[in-house]
Amino acid sequence: MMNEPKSKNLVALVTGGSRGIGRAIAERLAATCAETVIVNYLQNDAEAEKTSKLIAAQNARCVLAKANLLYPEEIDKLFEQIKASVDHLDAFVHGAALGTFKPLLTIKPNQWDLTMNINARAFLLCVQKVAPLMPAGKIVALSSLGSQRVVPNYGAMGPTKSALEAMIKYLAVELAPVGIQVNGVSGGFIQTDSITKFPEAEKFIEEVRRRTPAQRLGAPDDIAGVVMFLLSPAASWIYGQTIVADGGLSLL
Amino acid sequence: MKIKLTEDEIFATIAAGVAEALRVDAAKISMASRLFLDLGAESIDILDIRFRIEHALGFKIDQAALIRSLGEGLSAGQIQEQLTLGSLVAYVRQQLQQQP
Repeated sequence: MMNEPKSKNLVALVTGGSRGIGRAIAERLAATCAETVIVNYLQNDAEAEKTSKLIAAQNARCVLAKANLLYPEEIDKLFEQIKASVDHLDAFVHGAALGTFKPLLTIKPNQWDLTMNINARAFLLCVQKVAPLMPAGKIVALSSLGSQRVVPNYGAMGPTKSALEAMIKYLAVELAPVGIQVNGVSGGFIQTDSITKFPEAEKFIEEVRRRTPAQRLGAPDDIAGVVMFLLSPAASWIYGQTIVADGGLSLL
Repeated sequence: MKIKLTEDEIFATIAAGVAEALRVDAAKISMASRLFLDLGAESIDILDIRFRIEHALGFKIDQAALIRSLGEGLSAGQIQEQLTLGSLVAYVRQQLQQQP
């Protein structure tokens, strides 16, 4: 891969790394440039173990780190575990996300807090812990089209991703002087378990497929490729941007 | 570290989390209260309540095992019918007893 980092000596952290897009990124990191991939996950031990095996199959070390990023105390513990395993980080990819699919007007306070705190606040709290461990490095957060465009029943998630993208810009400016690049990837609709939880999922997926110029949904690996580009030297002049990779869906 | 709590204490912990998450009067929550059908919980609220219990008691709940504890092969409607405060208390109590 011409655009991917070459030397296999990086230490990377992927939140939400046990399944879907996070797993694809963790595996790609292990295959191309990482000697250690720390995989944070929320709950599914079996899926995390599968990811661990995929990473090991690429001759990289995997550290599984179970933590609920909703709670600052658990983020503290996560980074205690990380510091016990590695002495620095080169790359941080924030894929952890959670949500409910319903109109914004029906969102209850606890549902707002839950989605906002995991999707947006957790990124900030993790970056605050990552930066001191990263003398120089790259951070990439995963966003979605709902941050900029209205997607039916995405009212709980869209604003959290807007907050995430705003943070990407602010953090890019604050961290650039210390050699840390912060960017994002907005991935359109990706074929993962999450998309099947949309109301009337089959109809929704068919509609997305019909409206996407590339005539298919994205695959986790489509997003992993863009993340790897942003982690590579080829992206060294990109700061605070959220790259849209959506098969052309948002062009129409 | 094993946490020793009575059934009443487990109920109080869970009821407090449920009341806060769903903004319902804690006094109106009983062991028989059905989370979906009586208290108006939605799927994401169950996740929220689960997180609150985990955080308060310091152990992780296996959601699939929790659902299995209600009965094997239940439909979504049957789960909504059977997921009560009492079933949550029973599951948490059993898990706490199994902790090393």
